[in-house]
Amino acid sequence: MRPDKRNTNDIRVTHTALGQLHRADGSGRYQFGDSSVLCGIYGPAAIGLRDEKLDRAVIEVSFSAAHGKSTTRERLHERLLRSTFETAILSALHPRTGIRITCQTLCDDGAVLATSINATMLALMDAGIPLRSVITAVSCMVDKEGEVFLDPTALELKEAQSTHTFAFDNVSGGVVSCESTGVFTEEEYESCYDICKQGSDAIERFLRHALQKKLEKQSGLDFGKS
Amino acid sequence: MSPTAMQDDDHPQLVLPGDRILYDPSSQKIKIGPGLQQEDTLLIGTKLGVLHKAAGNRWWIDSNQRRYIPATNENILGIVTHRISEGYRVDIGAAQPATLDQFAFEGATKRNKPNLEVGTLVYAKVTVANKDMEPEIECLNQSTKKADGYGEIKGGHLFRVSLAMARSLLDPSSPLLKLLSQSFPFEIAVGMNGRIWINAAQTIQVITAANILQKADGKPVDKVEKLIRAELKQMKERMDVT
Amino acid sequence: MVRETEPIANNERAFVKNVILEGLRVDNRSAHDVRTVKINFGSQWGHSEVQLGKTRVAATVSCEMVRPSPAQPTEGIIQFSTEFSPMASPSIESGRLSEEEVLISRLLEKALKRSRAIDTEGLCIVAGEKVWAVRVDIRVLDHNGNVLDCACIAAVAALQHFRRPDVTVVGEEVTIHSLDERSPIPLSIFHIPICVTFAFFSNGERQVVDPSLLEEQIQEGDMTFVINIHRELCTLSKAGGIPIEGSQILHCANIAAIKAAEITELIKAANMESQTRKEKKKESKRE
Repeated sequence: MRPDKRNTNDIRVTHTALGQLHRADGSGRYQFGDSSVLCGIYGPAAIGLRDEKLDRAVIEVSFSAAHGKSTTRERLHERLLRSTFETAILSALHPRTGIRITCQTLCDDGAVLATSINATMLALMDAGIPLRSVITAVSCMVDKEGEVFLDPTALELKEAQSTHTFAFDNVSGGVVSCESTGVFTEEEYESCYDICKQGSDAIERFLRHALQKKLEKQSGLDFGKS
Repeated sequence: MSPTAMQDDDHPQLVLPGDRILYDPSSQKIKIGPGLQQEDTLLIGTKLGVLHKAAGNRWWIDSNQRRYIPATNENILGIVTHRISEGYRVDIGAAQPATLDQFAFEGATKRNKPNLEVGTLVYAKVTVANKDMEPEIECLNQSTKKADGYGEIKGGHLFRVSLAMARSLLDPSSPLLKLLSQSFPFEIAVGMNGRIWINAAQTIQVITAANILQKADGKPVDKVEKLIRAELKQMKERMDVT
Repeated sequence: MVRETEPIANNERAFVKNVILEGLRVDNRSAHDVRTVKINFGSQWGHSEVQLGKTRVAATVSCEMVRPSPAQPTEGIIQFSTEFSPMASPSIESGRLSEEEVLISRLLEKALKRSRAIDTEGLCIVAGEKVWAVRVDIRVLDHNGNVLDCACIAAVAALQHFRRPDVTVVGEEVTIHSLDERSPIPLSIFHIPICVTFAFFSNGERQVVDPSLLEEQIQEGDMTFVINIHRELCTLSKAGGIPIEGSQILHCANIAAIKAAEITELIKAANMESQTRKEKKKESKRE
């Protein structure tokens, strides 16, 4: 039994919001339970001559934790976010420009990387940046007995032997990026993949539903059943 | 296998990036606009929004974007940021500033051409828009060689709304503008880049109109009608006091 | 790397000035109206997110046990860190401080730290050995004018919301109790300083409270009062700008006192609401 009475393959209650920031060109907020990340996008925007690329938009990512000074962990998250979204953004459509992605953790209760990826996805869609596919991410952990738990909280992560974050692409269905830490076996890794795949598919369905509700409210249109 | 966007003829269609949009390439020939991409025989959405199909088989995705991507023949409001030897550099809210040639005005000659200061607001038309080139604009209707409303805009107030809002205001039957015009006369210039200029006889009218249009942004008209009427009533009351 | 700021048209500049001269404001407020304040608390202790009109700031309070400085062995440590997230405005670059950023952080620190609003002696665990170090991280998320006042509300609200774990001291042995074990303890706060900023126009003759971004960009000068509900002035800052008369400062101070009282009430109400919501949640969990 998990501390919050979830099943091993349940994700926490999720919340999404779009366009909460007024200054940014697009923004998104994603919450897995108490973990919450806000993402803001600027772009395609002007960029310094030194940095521009003639054939594509340059994507820059900055990520900051809820509190404290930024460390190498934040830099690692930035790298992962950038490489994840460089494949998703059709950057050739906006050459010589920059797309700036900023993720701010508002509350950290585990699975912040997955939360950031989902928040960034929402923000990119809100900003109208051309994308190849929808990317959704989820984390899981393996405890000392080898049992796999989806979307762990900070409390659960204290007992983790290994943690894994997978980001899936909804067009190919494959993994776009993954990050694993700790000691684990091949079988454990495979069961983590399976449980995360299911979780991320559920998130994708949830996003589609939430976005439909939001757009219906905004436009007054009725898209029929989802 | 790509996810397929829901196809239901009774309802407008929601599209997410990567969604495959059903169409028959053998019988249909369509022109695709923003938010759509062709991959071999497939039609793929690249933005979040609603699929629109208009006369002439033009299909595009209506998204909630705020950043302007220039397109030729669109009317925009720009702000002069630099004077350069051949003319002006104008901020149009896009990634790159646009160039406005010094001769791209009605009757401009080498001896007689307008002299615009930095910070001048101009209403102009996009003539060159290409992802690999800097945009160019002009304050001249090429078919008549007349200004036809293009050029420097003086007085009034400038504010910003979403691109979707700007597009909806360009619709001649816009219910929002109709509501406002029933209350007081005003002048308006709508830029496809989400900038709106407005002027009226009294300051309070300009303020009210600008606030109404910003508040109504991103909401269906029938939901804000009450709010608009309340704001207009409040304005009248304040005007009666002074 | 992305660098740009949207220019202001001369029309806007002239309009804002005219509007204020007529005693009106561009966003339909009157000269002494503060924009709508919305205060939200996170589900964990010490998280706040505050909106002042379209400006948005988040604050997080955290604490850890540290050794006190030898000069003040019986006092806890309180630290403020203000950061403009690059999402707040297109002109902010990550990792590089702008002048505005430095000014706002300094003023905020002065307002909250030097006004001795928080009881640092109460943060002492074992004199000379162990004290609590409380850290307040303030993150500006959306810059639409008057970031300072908004950041101040966020910081104060988060500090009031924050609870630190309870400790027992037996000799030199210190045990920290988890939040479930023993109910956590709020900080003892002496008074709540509130920032109220004014912007000056028309050669300093007109002033407006809580300037919006557009007003801020056009203003001739500004002045910030840090004042509490007891009408005690903690900090007054006027960094350059147009010179104004002494009587005007007094006039502004009176307005600031009223605004500070209103804002203090708002923070209190928001805190109460979040507390009752938390208790309800706890009860429903028990059932």
